[in-house]
Amino acid sequence: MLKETTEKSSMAVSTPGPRVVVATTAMLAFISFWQAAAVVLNDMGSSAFYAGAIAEHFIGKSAPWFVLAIMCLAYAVRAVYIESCSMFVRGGVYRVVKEAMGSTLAKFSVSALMFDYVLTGPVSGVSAGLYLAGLLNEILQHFKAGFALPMNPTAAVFAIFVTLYFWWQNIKGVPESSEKALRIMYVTTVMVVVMIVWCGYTLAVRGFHLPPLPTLSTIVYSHDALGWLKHTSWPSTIGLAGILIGLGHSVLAMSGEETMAQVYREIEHPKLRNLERAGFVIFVYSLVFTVGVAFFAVMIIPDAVRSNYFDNLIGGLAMYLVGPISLRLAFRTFVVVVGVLMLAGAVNTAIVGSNGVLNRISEDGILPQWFRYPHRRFGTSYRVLNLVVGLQLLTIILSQGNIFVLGEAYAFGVMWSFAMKGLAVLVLRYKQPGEREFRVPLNFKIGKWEVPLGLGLITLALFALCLVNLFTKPVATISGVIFTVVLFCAFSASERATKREHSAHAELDQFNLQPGFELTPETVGVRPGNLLVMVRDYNALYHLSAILDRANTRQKDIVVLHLRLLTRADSGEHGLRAEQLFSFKEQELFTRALAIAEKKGKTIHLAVAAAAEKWDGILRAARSLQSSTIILGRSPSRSVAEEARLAGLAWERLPDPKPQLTLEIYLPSGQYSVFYLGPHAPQLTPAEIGRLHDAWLELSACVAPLELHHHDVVHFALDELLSQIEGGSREQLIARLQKHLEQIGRTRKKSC
Amino acid sequence: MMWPTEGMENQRPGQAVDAPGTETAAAEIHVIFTTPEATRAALQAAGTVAQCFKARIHFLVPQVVPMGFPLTRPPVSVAFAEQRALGLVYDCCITAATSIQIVLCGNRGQCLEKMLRPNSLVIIGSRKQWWRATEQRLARQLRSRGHSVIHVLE
Repeated sequence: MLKETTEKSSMAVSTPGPRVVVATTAMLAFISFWQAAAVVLNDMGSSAFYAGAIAEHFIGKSAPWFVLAIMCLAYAVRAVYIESCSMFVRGGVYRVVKEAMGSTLAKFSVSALMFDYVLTGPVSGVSAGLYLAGLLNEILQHFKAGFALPMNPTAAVFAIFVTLYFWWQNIKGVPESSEKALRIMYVTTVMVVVMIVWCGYTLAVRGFHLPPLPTLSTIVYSHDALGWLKHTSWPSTIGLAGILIGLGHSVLAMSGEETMAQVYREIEHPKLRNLERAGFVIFVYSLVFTVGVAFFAVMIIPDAVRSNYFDNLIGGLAMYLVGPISLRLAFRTFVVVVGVLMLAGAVNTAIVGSNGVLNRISEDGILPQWFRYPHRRFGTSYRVLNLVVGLQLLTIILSQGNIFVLGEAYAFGVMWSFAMKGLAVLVLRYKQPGEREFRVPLNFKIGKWEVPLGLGLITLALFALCLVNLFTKPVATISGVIFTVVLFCAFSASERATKREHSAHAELDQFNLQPGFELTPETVGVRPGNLLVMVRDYNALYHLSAILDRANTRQKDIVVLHLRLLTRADSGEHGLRAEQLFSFKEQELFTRALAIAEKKGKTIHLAVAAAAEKWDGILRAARSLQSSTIILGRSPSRSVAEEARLAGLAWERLPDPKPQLTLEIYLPSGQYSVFYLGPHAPQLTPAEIGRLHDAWLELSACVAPLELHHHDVVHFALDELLSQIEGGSREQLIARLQKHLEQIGRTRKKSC
Repeated sequence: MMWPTEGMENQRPGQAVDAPGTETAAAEIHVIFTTPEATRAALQAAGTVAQCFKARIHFLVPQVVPMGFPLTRPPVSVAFAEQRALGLVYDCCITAATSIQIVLCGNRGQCLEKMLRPNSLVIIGSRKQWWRATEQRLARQLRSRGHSVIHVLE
């Protein structure tokens, strides 16, 4: 497991009693692609519990094919997210749209995203409630209780309870971890495997028919499927219109993609490759689970009763498998437990996600700081949480637990945020051309213009679905447009109001100081033999980037050190103030260093030290940290050779025992020079080795039968050289050495 | 973070944790934040142990940051977490030298694994519950990694 450490704030409190030091450290633990996939699937997989049923409710028995097509589209949309993540480590909708199309459209996108988040909670909570109510009714019926719970109101009450529970958890600041997501996915996987095996056995015993392929004759629209297109003939006469309407009613299956952008920051090195792997795992899993449920439901549950299970489809599936009723009820209970775990988790994800988005835009000055005012007892941004949860509760109450209404509205937020994201990435192809670590496939060039066909088609498909949904889902359109416009206006108004107060440094991570008496591997939390990267200018961190590419942080830790050079006035007897020790420049420096490390998915350990002289400070820090290599960028005022010479001279001044160090000086082009500080084996050229070998051949024959090695020749030659220097021929020797060096210099120039 | 290199005398006044040389000599007791009430009990126990053995207290507060938030801008404000931790230390009237470390992290278990040195003495407080509390699981996890864990009920 990799770890990224950023030392943060501290305050020393002096009291008459004990001395108490408070320090804050940030430690980012990167996660594997499996964990990343689990986090996304917790959100995305939850839609398997309701997406297939909602689609079939609107478009009939051919719905599973549409769900399958949507899952394929989801894989394509995932490629859009991967491309945006390759450009921005924190590449959510807001950030990407803002970079591509400016603040106004970013506000529109974030409004759509907020609508998505506000709906995610209710739709998941109500779905969980429907599964639970369905199971309770089945048990009541089994025991002939004589009454049944009303499905929708029970589900609404349950959803309210779950939402309030997670609201309280978030107010208290108790977060969910990726490990918990992984555990839920283990349980879900058990359920999925049991479901596939059991459904497969059932089909083998009973025989099966695949759902009808979608054609104009097999798409059966429900009374509420066409919305404002109800009175036109297009849906039943134009094939493409029918297909788009069908897809529009199935888009819920791809909700949860935005979580990919959030999880990217946490993925370990190689980041993008791991994101691609996670994307593939998500695709396969959701294909098997979401599409599997949709197909099995149509093939196993009889047509006459299937509509009774549209609100808890997997529960219904469990009841129509072959086997004794007690076993089927047990499996259904298991399904409900897993469903409640997953769907309730999605309620929490929605609250945390919207809290994160609103905090982010509040930091950007779009929302007033008032929203981020911390809770008196728990320190959380309770006003944001109250706002979000209030809207979610209102949504549940207004929907009265009707999953179809909620699903329709939810699709609005999901689709518009995806479409805006696709458009933004497309615009960025032209606005920020150049190399990317990942590009959505199918690109070709006409002259100097790039034609991103794949990206264009995906964006077109997303906008087409948005437009179709606008006309076929009146409730979603009206509520979505009202919500988005109101939120957009509120954002715009509050942005104007808070513009003056907006700090230019809002983007900076708030690093502060943690005092330490000594710079040691233990205090910094690194192993001996680490790589010490010296940073100075936040616009010139190419050497950090290069070393992060090369280094394996599982074997060697990387310490990023800023050396603050003290002038005589600074180092007087008065102590330095915190702002003197840790300036804005250093905050910017460390923020950028952290961003590079995040992008590479590798650990760095940040530190600041003070010294009166540059190389003295660097070498002392390297010795204290037991570093093996010092890495720095090119000096703006000295040549690489001169810098290395100064380092060598400073090394000689170090008190004994002097450490053996390697010095690597990088150029912006990526080339670097290596120097060895202290005694070290020289790197001999082939010509020098050849000369040594010639001397050995010549002398070994002369001294036979005595044994002579190459190192004996070197040893003897050095002794002779030193004795000649001491024996009075020093001046002649130095003159010859200078002549030799000049000759070598000329040879190098010629070869260049 | 400030580490003056050797020979430099430029700490802020009152900044040093302890006099040079005493820091490594004294034993260290780690207290891990769980809930305010349970942590108060743990700190009180740590105070008593620290007094007996002239040990220092290292109060670790792992602050888990959910994925939707940048690591350095958690939903619970850092200033609040610092004040709360400081308040707990003062409430317990601890006489031993104490350092409080708030650690913003993505995962509490991994964070503690990195922050605790091998074979540390750890005190964890928890509520009295009839089911196995999260704190009890944490204590078990730390014991399995070779730490000595004292579990204190609030």
